[in-house]
Amino acid sequence: MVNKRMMPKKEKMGLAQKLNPSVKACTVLAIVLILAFQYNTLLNITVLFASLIMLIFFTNTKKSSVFKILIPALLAAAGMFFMGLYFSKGGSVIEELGSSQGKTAVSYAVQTAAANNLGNALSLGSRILAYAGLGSFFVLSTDPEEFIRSLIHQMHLPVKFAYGILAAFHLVPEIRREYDKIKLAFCTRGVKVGGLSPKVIFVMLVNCIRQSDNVAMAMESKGFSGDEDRTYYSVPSVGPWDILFFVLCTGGVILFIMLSK
Amino acid sequence: MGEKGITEPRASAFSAEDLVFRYYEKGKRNILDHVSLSVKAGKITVITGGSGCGKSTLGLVLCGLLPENGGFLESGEIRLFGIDVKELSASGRALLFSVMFQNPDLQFCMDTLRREMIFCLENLRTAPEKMDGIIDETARFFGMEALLDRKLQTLSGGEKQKGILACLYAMKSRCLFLDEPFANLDPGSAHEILEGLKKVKEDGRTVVAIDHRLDYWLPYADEIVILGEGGRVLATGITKDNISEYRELFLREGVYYPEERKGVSEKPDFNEAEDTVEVNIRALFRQDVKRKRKRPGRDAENVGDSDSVKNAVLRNINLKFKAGSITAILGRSGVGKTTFLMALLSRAAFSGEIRILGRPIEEYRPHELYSKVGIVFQNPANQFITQRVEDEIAESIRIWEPGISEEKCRERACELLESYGLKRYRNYSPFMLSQGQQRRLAVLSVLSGNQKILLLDEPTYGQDRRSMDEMMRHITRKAGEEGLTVIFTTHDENVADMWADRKIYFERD
Repeated sequence: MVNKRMMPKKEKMGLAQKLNPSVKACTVLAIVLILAFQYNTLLNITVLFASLIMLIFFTNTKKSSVFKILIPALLAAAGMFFMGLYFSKGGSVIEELGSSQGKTAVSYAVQTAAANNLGNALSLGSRILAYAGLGSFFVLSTDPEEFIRSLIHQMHLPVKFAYGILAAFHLVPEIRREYDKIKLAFCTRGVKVGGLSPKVIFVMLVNCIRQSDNVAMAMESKGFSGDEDRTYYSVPSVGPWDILFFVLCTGGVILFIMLSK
Repeated sequence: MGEKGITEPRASAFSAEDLVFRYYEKGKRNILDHVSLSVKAGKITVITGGSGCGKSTLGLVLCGLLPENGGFLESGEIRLFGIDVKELSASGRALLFSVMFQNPDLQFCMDTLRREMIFCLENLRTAPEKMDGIIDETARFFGMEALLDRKLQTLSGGEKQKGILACLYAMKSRCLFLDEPFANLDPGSAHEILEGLKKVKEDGRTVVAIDHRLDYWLPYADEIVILGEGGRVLATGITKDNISEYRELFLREGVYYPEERKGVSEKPDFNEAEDTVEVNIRALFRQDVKRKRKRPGRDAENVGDSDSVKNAVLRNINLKFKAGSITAILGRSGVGKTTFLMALLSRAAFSGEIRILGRPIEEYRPHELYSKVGIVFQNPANQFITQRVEDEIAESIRIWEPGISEEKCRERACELLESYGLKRYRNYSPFMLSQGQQRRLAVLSVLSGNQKILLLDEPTYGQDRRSMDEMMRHITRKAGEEGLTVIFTTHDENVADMWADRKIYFERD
C-alpha cells in the first residue's frame, strides 16, 4: 500500500488507486503476457469487463475518460478482427472467394475458411479490447508521481531518470501551449503554417531546449544532484493487499484458462 | 561546512575574483570580462545594469550552474561563504545558495507545492519526520496554507513565484538569489514577494537580486550594484539615500533611474483622427476560438447567457482607439489583458462587436487581419521565422511587400537594424540575442510590415530603460507620422505614464 501521508487531501480515492503502482503494473503486464499466448475470446472479454468494472467501481475516474480511450481501441480491434477474418493461416476467405468465382453459391471451401477464421478473428479483435481495458485501468487509476516513486523503490529506477521523467511530464502541457503560441505568432507575421509545420517545430524545439535547461537548473539549484543519496518523505511499500491483488488477478486468469480447456 | 563564513559574521555571502566567462570556448566575446564582486551577508543587494551586460550570466556563474550546464569559464574563483564553489556538491551548494528564476512555469519538478517542497527537502537529506513541520511552518510564514495541495497549473504566476520563494525558504539556504523575479508579475504580487524577502532577511539570510526595475527594490535594498559592459562593476554601495549622486551613471548605462519617469512629450490631439479599433464587448472569454470557425463573436453568443457570462474574463468593454494613439492597458495578472489582445486578433471568444478599420472583425480572413494588426508577444523568440537577424527583417519586408527588389529590401533591413542598434548583430541567430534585443528585433520585424495597428504584450518584460526608450521612441514616431494605433499591456505604471496617451485599467467585477 502506498503510504497515506503522501496522499494530499484529494478527492476520495478508490480502492484500486491505493494499490502499489509497481505491483499494479506487474499484474497488468503478467496478464498481457498470458493473454498473448491464448486464443480465448471469452477470456479476453472477461478481462475487458473486469478492468472496466474495476475502473468504474473502485476508482474515481470519470466514465467519459474511459470511453475516450475505448473508442480508438474499438477501431483497432475492428481492424484486427477483419484482418484475422480475411488473412488467416490456411485457406483465406479471399483466396477461396477468388477460386469459387463464377459458381452459383458460396462454395463449401469459402464457408469452412470463414468459419475457421471467424474464431481467430474474434479472439484477435477481443484481445486488443482486453489490452485496451487493462491499459486504461492502469493509466486512469495511477498517479504518475506515485508510479515513479514506486519505481524508484520497488524497481530500483535510478533517481536521476525518475525525476527527469517527472519534470518532463510536467513540461508537456507547457510545450503544447508553446506550440499554439508559436503558431499564432507565425500567422501574425504573415507566414502560412499548416498542421505540423517544420518551422514551428524548429522554434518549439529551440524553446524546449531552453525550457528544459531552465527546469534542470532550477532543480539543481534546489539541491537535486541525481545521486541516490537522499531521504524519502514516504516510501511506497508492498503490502498484503497488493500481493493478494496480484495473486487474485493472475490466478483468476490462469484458473479461467484451465477451466475452459 | 562554511566555518569561515560562520566565524566572520560580517563576511561576504559570496565573492568572485576576476571572472572571465564566454559561451563558446573559441568565441571572441567574453560575456563576463574580468569581473570581481563581493556581496555582504545578511543584506539585500540588487545588481542592475543595461540589457545584455551579463547580469543573468553572472548570477548563473556565481551559483555554479554555469559552466556546469554550458559555457566556458576561462579564469576566476568564486567563494560562497568562504568555500570554493567547485568543492561543493549540488546539495551542498543549495544549502548555501539557491536561485529563483524569471519564469515561474519552468521551475517546478512536481505538480503541487507540497510535493515540490518535499522534493527540495529530500534533496537536502532532511529527515522525513521533520518535513511536515517545516512545510507547515513555511506555509504559515508566507500565508499560503491554502495553496499547498492545489495543482500548480491552477495557480497564478504570482502565486507560483511565491511558491518558489517558499521552497527556497524551506530549504534554509543562507543566500537567496533572484533573477528578475518580478518580470511576470503585477505590482501587487511583486510587493508580496518583497515583503516575504524582507522577512527572509530578518531571519538572518542574504538576498541577492538581479533586476532592471529598481523602483520596486529601492525601499528594501541595502545596497545596489551597477554593472557595465562585460559585467564589470561600475559602482557599489548605492542606497536609497545616495542614489541621486549616481543619476548620471544610471542614465549613461541605460538603466532605469527610479522616480524619474514623468514628463511626457506633448500629447497630440486626436479629435480629428479616425477610430481604427472599436470595441463593444459584452463578455470576453478565455477559451480559444479555432480558426476554422468563421464567426468567433457569434459562437460565444450561442453558448448561452447564464452559464457562459459567468465564465467571462471581462464584461462590458466599450472602447475606441484612434489612429496615431498609444494606449496602455493595466491591471492585475490574469485579469484578461492578454485575452483582450487575443480578441483583437480574433483569437478569443466574445459576445458583442469588434470593428477593425471600420469592418467587423469576423469578416476578415486571418491573413488579411494580420496584415492590419501586428502583435509582439511576451516571448519574442517565438516570432522568429529565420535564423539570421538580417533575414528576419528582410523576410518580413518581402512578405508584406511582395515583389520588392532584393537590393532595396536588404538596404531597408540594414537601415531599420541600424535605427534599433541591432546592426552589429545582423549575422547572429535571433535566438542568440538577449531578451531585450530579441524584443526590439520582434517589434522591428512586425513593424516592417505595413500594419496599421500594433499590439504589444508586456513590452517592458526583460528590457532595460535604454532599450525600452529606444523601442518606444521608434513606435511613437511611427504613431505620429503614419497613424499607427498602438495598444500595449503592462504592469509598469511609470512606463504607461511616460509613453501612453491614455491608460485603461482592467478590473474583474
